[in-house]
Amino acid sequence: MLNRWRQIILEQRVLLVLLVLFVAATLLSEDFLTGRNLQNVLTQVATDGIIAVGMTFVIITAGVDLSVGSVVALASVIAVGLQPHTGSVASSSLALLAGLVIGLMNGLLVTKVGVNPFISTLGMLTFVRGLALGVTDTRPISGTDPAFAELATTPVLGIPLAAVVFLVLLLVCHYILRSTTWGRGFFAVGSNLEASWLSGLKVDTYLLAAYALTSFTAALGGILLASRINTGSPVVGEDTPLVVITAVLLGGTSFTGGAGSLVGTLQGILVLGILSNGMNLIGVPDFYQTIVRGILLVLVMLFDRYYVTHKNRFRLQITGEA
Amino acid sequence: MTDTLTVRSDVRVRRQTLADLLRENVIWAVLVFVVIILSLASDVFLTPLNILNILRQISILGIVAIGMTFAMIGGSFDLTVGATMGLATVVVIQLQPVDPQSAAVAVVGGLLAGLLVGVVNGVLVGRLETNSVVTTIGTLYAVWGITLIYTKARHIWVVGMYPPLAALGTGRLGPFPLPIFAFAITAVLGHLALTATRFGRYLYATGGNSASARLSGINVGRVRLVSYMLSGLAAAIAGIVIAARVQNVDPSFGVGFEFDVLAAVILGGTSLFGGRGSVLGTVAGVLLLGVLGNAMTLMGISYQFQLMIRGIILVAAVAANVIVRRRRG
Amino acid sequence: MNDGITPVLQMIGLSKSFPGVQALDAVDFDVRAGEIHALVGENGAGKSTLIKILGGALQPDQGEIVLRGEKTVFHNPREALDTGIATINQELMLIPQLSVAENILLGRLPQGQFGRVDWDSLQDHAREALSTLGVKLDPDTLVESLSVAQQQATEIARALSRQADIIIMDEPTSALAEQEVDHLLETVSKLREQDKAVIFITHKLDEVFRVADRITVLRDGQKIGTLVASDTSPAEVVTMMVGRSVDSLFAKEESEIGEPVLEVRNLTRKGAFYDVSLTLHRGEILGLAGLIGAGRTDLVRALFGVDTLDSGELWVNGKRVERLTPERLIEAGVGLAPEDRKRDGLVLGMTVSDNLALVALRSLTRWGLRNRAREQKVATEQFSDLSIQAPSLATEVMTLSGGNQQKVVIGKWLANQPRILVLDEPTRGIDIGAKAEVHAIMQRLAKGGVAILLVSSELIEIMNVSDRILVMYEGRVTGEFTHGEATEEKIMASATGHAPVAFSAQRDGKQGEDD
Repeated sequence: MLNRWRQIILEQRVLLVLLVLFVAATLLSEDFLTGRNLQNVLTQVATDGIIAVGMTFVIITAGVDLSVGSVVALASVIAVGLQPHTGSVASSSLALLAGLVIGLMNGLLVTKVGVNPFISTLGMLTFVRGLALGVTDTRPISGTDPAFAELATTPVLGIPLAAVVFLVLLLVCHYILRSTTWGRGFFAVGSNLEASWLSGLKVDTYLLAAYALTSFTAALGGILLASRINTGSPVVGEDTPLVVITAVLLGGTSFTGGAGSLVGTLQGILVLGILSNGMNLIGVPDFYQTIVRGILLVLVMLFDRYYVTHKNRFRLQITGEA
Repeated sequence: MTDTLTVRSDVRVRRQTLADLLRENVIWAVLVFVVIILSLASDVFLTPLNILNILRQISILGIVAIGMTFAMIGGSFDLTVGATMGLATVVVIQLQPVDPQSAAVAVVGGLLAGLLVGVVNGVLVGRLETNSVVTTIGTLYAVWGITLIYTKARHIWVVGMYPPLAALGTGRLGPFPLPIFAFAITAVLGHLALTATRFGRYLYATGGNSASARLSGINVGRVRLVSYMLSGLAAAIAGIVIAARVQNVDPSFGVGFEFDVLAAVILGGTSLFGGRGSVLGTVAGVLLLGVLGNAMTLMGISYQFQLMIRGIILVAAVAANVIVRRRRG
Repeated sequence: MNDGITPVLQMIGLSKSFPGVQALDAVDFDVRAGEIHALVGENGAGKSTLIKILGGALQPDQGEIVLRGEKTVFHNPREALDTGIATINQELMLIPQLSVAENILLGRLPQGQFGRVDWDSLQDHAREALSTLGVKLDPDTLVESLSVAQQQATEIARALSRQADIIIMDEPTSALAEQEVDHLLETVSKLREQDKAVIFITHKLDEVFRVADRITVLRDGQKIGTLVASDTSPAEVVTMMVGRSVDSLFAKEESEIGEPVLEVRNLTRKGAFYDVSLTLHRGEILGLAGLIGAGRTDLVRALFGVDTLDSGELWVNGKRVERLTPERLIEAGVGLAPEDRKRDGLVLGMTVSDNLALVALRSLTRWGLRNRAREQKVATEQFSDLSIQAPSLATEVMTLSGGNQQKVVIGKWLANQPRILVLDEPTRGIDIGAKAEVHAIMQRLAKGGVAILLVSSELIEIMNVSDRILVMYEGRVTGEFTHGEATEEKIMASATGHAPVAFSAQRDGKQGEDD
């Protein structure tokens, strides 16, 4: 009986942390549980959350994408910068397209050239950041379309649009990953590339899709961010990859690939969001938040390691030993 | 891939060809090539003033890169170096080194800070064997946070820094700015540590094949711990030099620098997987980045464009490395 | 199963060579539908090479493969799989984080509306495949929580589900406990009932005679013969596996055997070896014979502190060694040249001299600083003593041939002047000439007082070189012979669990007593 509880706690550890944080925030601040505040939280987590959805796929395939921050910046620049010439709809679409193209390039570098995704997305991070700075001459661009500026916060059934987009994307991707035959393949590819290939799965397609999706979501996040601050800024997104990766790992997705869930990612991003929001409400200075994030990441890593070594009682390999 | 696909046949003996030799020292060849082209293209490039400028500018990058090289040869990433460097700078300035005693304390404090970060990383990654990338990112955050707390998120100054200390950053020995000496000394010591000590051999073995290393009686965990300590120490030295030079610092200084360092180390031929690399190679990588950056500035290429080019170079260098390795094995 | 039935898969005149070694020499082999065909032979006989070619992982130099009457070529394992040949290897091709059902239908999940996974259909398929095999497994269980036996069963179920009609199994029982072996053999029989063709590689003759219809024996890359199981006996098979004239490359020299230097008492690790005790004496070469899976490498690695131990004691030179780690064992004067030289024995990216000096480095350095001159000297000594063929000491070890790499491994340990040397398969995959050299080195060392524990799957080698031979089977010591007593048949019999009365009482260095 006790064992059962222990198992549940271990598996749902993030949810528990989330609940604890929620309760703590409610108790420590009277402003927390207000409609306005909660809406605020949702909007703030939406941007990073959208990107976290894409990143989850990449990490499940045992890869990573460090360039998402730069893509956010570039997308915001394109969406706002081209507004006067083409209108917001076209400029936003172009921003999304740019994200897609960058994602495909990342994917091709990994699948066709065989470069380690760390390095290739690292290079892409620098390249795209330079690109964003270049086209804007390092200066942020002010938005000229009032409708666009309202976009992210427009309430849809009482919830800000950005949050709605996040939740819809999350649900759709969750469905794909969990319940479609195609989606299941991501786990296989991330876990055992050779076995997947042998079984006929198109591993290259999966990897390309994962990287394309991640950059796409980064572009989407960039557009929503641009809407919120009504600016196309080439300098945003510097710590986006770290925040997003932390959220995904917190949510239980394993860095070594093969396992993970978007529900977990949602929990992870909410933990970070509530933590941040809560600390803001009680007046904890910004910099403490950074350190907390760091310690959290380290603890997650340690726990992940512990969990993996203790689960691994049965070795998969029959080693032919004398 | 695995042995089920590859044949475990015996590889026949191959003589070292000229191609092999070039391949190992490619980066120097590239560097020389680039320098020649640039000196032809620009009158200003090969002047003593400009060269000294380049060297001074890359000294900081160089010192940190040498530290990171140790960690990478041992098979682990150290992405905390930027934050560590910032922490050291902050510690030095915050301790207000205006007289000999406080200056000494400041320097020791900075060095200790770097060592401590190295120990934390070393224990987590080296002994507990957590994933080095994610863990050192986490440490990065933690260190950054500590820096912010320590400075209360405020930009800090020291007025009237103890002159000998300030000289470390701003002084010259003859025509040479002192930071270059710091870099040179670090390079020499680093090179000696890698090539002339038993630890150096153990480090290459650990990074090259930790299973074999363990079976040969090497304490792999301890080796990695030391490599992280050296990395932290190097970052701290760089931080101290900066503190001496500019005597003020922003609390978030250094965060983001790790990627530049990583680029230099990789360009210098250190393998992502461990077991290969050298201080000389890293120096070449640092010089190459410095030369290219300088050249691009001389040509009036904007910082933005330089970023783009740097990104391309990084990927191209690694891609070339991968293709070469594939063809070889 | 009468002759005259066309085989579903045929290999005609298959040859394959690697540098220095002819792995297969004009081998004919075939298997029929509804048959279990066992492929047996000593280590190095060519079995793995044969099935790698069948499975598409290797290309033959000569010969043809005829599948269902048509000449076929497989360029890669997927092609072989697509034509219905499933190989179940030592390394299982499963996704641990997914369920049994998802693994069985990997890449072919049944689809419903909107691309949904049809979970019900998936369950049904999986259940069907499992029940055809007679395996009781909940298809929802995650593969990572299954035992090795269950994981294997999952892989077999997948092969079935893919309509594979030729199933190749490489040493499937080497990691299984007795009960699980029974289950597996039942499963394999079920495959026969399904009219599948099964090729079964194993060393364990009792298994062969429990399920096999025909038996093909390979030896030194050649096919010795194909027998009908019911027409033959284990003894006959053993003779065929082993029966060559004893080819002594040199005469065994008498060496002076001294006091015990290494004593192992009741070493046990569940799943690997049980209650193993042995004594090694100064100047003695003790051979540890047995087949793959017998537990010898496990034992030796545990002894050296690389793997864990459940219970038991290790005594070196009369002193107990607590808390076994490689460092301590090396300090005590022990060295281990591991079985997998590339993975565990060498740092491939380093030079010959660096590798040679790696263990001795501790004593060659002062205050942590290297003394290159001394390192060179030591490396050069080993280089010439062992006649290592390489352009120079500065050559990267990766480029050396297998034989020379092995010499570097041995040299690395010799440079540290061990008093006890454990050699695990030191001549595996190297040519005759180098083999003889290694043997000569071993003899020389023993004469000089070094105690050697030799693990080898090659009978001739063990018999020629050892003063005493211990045989292991399934984790236990099943036989002991002196140099004079040992014959190939006796050793093989003990190694295959077939020894009638081969066990002589453990003696302490007394020689010359007949059994």
